[in-house]
Amino acid sequence: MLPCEIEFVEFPIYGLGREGLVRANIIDLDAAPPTTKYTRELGRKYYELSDHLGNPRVIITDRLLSDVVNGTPGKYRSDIVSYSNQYPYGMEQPGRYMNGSGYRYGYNGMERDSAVTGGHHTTYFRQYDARLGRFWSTDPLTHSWESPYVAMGGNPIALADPSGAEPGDPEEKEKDRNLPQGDGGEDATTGRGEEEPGASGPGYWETRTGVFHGIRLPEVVVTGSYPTFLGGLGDYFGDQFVGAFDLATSNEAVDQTVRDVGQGVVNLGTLGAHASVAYNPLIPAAGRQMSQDYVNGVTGGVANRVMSMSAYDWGYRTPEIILLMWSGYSIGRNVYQGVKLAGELGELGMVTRGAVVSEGTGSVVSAARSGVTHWNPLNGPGPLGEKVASTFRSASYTESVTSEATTLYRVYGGKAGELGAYWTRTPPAGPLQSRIDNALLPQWGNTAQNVTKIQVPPGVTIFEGFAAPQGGLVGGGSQVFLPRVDPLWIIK
Amino acid sequence: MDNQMKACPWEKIIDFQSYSEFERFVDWMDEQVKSGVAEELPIQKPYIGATTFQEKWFRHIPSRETWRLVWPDAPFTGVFEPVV
Repeated sequence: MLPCEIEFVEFPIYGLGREGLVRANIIDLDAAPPTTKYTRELGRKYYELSDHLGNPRVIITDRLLSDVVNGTPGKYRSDIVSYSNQYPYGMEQPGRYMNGSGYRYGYNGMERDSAVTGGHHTTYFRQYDARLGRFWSTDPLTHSWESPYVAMGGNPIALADPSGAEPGDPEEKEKDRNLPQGDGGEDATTGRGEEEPGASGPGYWETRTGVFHGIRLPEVVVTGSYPTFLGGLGDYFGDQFVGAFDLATSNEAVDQTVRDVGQGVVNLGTLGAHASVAYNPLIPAAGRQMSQDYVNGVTGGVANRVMSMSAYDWGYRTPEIILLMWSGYSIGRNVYQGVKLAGELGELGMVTRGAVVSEGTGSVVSAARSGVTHWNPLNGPGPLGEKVASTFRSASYTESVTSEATTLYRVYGGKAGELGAYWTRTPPAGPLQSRIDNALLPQWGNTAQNVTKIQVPPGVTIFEGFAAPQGGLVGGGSQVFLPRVDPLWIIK
Repeated sequence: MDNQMKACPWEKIIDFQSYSEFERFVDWMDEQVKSGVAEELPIQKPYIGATTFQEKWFRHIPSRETWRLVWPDAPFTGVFEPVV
């Protein structure tokens, strides 16, 4: 077998968006860290100076230049490695650009694709040619009033379309991003999570890490150290995750992360979401205390130093289940398989609707999973069959029976009828959002211009998961499959 | 020989590419019924037990095989398959 060599070339610098790149050029990833004195090499960090459309007009490095006279440096100036003046649609003006660094990002922040032609860019959805001012393939979200190849909505001075899906005003997005929270501006200083999940544009929550991907819908919030979460629980819960944080890391980090997760859980709570939290068993005292704070915050419905707003909201808005646990991987596996936990895992409890009903017995796990069957490629496709199962992300979905009245929505119009098999828990935020979230390709004729709202009574079998991507639409939105719908359930 | 059953020439379709393609197929199936090759049957058991999909059953008369045609409801893309 040939040895596999991986070269770590670069990684991005992120602020509220991509600010630049670091060219690491680490060839031997297995090499031991240097034991000699740390040195810093300048010139590897590249920062974008962008205009209002996100066009990186000038690229500078972290190196300062100066003319030294008689051993004394003069005024410092930036180390400019790239600059460009562009026509409105992004083609660089002859003789008025320089790209000495080979910087990869260009017009609107799209990635340059120099393998094809000058002026060619790659976006998430399609290819853009700045020389023509047109995309090379059709718009995944077409409009009746314009060609599907049109770029920037025909208004490249004001609009940007870095993903290739839909042009938007970057300055408006920036304003939205900096708005304080509705109740008290809790997150105004963080600049994160300002938009209501499900009500945001297609880009904002989607650009967050996978941890936040499922925030609109889900059944389970599981937490643990990030490596545990990503490497272990993720395998079992897949897309049902909505958040993760490590209670043993630090109060500050926990507080912030809980706020972030809480953003989703507030929403989830109204959906009867489950929530659970794990902490690092290597620091049991800290974890135990934090967990106890957490329990207190939830059961008492009061804010405290760790949980602050989130705990209050979690308790007040009635998330269905909260698990406190050690060792996320093991518990996640057992939760998933519906197996009772061994006693040595300990520290297990459940809070439901404001009252501690079980603690340290392990019985909560089976209670948490009772009535819910998970179907995935390993044990599926289940009762929906392969074809319908494949409309759920990773062909994974849960089968359950509603325990209370459940509100669902369906977008329709064109070829799609008012009642049908596919529904969502998320109130639609507009046709565009619905098309992306539910992967409604234009060729199927669902214009998503109308909304049906139903209330499913208790005792109805539903199949739930996340919409699978289709034809360039990312999906990921709440998707509920109903094998039967009674027109009397319509409430709007 | 005419009273012998013939093999059904219909082919299973699990991925219509668009609603317009599906509509063309429905027109073709209507032609099959009008020409006497097929007849519509009452639905005995809905596709995966879901009454929320629009569905029709057809019998291919020469082969006596029964097939179902399930309408697309995005992201489900419709299906035409024999009833087992």
